[in-house]
Amino acid sequence: MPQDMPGMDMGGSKPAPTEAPMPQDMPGMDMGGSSPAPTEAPMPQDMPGMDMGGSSHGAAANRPLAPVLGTFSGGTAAVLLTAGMLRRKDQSADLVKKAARISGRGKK
Amino acid sequence: MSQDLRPRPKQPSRSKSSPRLDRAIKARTDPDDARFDRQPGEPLGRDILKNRYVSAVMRSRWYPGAFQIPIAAVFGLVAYELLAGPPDAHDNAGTALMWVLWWPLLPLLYVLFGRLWCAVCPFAALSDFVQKLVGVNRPVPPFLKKYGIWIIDATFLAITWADHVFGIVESPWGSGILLLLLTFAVIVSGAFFQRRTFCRYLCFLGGLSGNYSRTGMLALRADQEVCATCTSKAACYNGTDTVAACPLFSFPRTMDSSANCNLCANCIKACPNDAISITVRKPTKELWFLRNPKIEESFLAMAIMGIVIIQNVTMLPGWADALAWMNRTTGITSYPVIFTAVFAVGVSIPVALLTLAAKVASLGNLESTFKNFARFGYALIPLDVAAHLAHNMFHLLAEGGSVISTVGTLFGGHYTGSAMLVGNGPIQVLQYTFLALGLAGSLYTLRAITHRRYLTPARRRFTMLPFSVLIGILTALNVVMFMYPMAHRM
Repeated sequence: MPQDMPGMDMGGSKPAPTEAPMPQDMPGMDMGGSSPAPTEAPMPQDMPGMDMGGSSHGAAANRPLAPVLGTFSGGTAAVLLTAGMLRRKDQSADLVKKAARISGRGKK
Repeated sequence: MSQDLRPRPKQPSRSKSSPRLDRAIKARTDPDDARFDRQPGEPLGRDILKNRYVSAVMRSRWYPGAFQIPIAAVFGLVAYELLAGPPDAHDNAGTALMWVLWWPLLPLLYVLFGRLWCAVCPFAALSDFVQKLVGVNRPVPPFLKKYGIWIIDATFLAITWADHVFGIVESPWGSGILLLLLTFAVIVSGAFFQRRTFCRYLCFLGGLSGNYSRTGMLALRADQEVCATCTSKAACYNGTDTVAACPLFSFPRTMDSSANCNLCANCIKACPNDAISITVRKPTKELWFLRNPKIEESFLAMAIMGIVIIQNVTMLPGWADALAWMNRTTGITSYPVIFTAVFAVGVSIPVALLTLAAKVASLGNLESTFKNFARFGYALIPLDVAAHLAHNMFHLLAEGGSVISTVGTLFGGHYTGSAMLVGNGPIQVLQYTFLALGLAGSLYTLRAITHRRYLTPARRRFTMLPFSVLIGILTALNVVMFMYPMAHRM
């Protein structure tokens, strides 16, 4: 019996590896970490059922935090300043009214 | 058609026809109108303010602030995580806390405690803070008072649409932007307008909570007899030197709905006569005693039903196939265009079905289709809440593990368990239980509204039949959808 008969345990001796060629990217096989060649089929950007721009994958790549927070802060500051100015204007108008009322009473 | 319907007396002929006068005469001669006007309001149950612990909490100067502060801190963390945390929703604690824990629990909170969430909402706290800082306190613009709920309806639909088209829920960044937009709107409203104008007239969640809290088990009401002798110039509404005014512009003396009461307890603290009570009642009871239906609220109920249907459909296994089929059939490859069409149809279905039922009922109860739509849309709210809860229970129980894992990771822990807290079987049992309760609640509400409104058996019969069929169709639709496994978001 030949020592290297394939499929038989020959008392610790290693069977000789078959040298048949095996493609690296054979589909369905794990190639020990080698990644299969990617298929280059075209995929439309707006394919139905797919997450379009704004999905977690898209957002991961592009999150413009500084401009967004800047716009938010700027808008908020503008609103607060405008409201504060309007409030001061209202308060001074109220004071004028009160003063007019008091002076009107004084004349009577 | 109906033998026991009283014949309407002939109107005297007039030289000039006036639709307004016609309506007035018609209203006066409706045999059930006078009886309906004499119907007593919702009876009050046991006052939980008689319990000294509850009373102490509600009258405390720390309520609701003591709850607002930790909740605002959690929301701050959520906002930080959404904007600056992991970009993948699967790993983001903000996404998990917002869409898997908070959002699914909200309808349940509304059923149990009414609009209590609004009292502790961090956006409301922000509005109050801005108001104290720079508030101009302009009165609410009339167009907001008139069309506010329509704006809420439109916002709710727009956010749901945007979620599907731009992937707000699946994208922490998108959710973060939504939070920033809401925050900005709250700041503008708090800076320029009185009280919590945003919460009452603009918040899309406020509109939802207003509708759902009508099914809630807590109701704040005032003792009308005591109020009739009150000399405090509506302290419950206007507030006092030490207590703020009612944030949601509700006057307890005339209040017959919990839609605009957030149980903030300002009126309880301000009332010098101790005339306010908080009572426990059966879920949906408020709807049985409906007096002034509004078409925009009925429309919102139907729109929410449509939204739940759309959300369910897009999570079903056949959704991708349906999209591919639509793609092949119409040749349209743009997902936003296809989804917009599906969304429009999905939301229109419940509205169209209610319109049809109202039209059929109007032939039998002799009220206009418009009135039938407005009145009986409320009967659908229990089923609406139930379907929403059933949908949300899936997110909470099938994806709840993601809350533990992401929050755990945030604080240095490591959770290796599954995202599913409970198996599909128990979730489906829970979903069908909710649907059964919703069906029962809607049918009972329909019966209660019909019996209070109409005296004659024929009018009752002709009203109940089309709306019962509608409730049955919508229930069946939901039952079918919950039979299929749903896709996970997280």
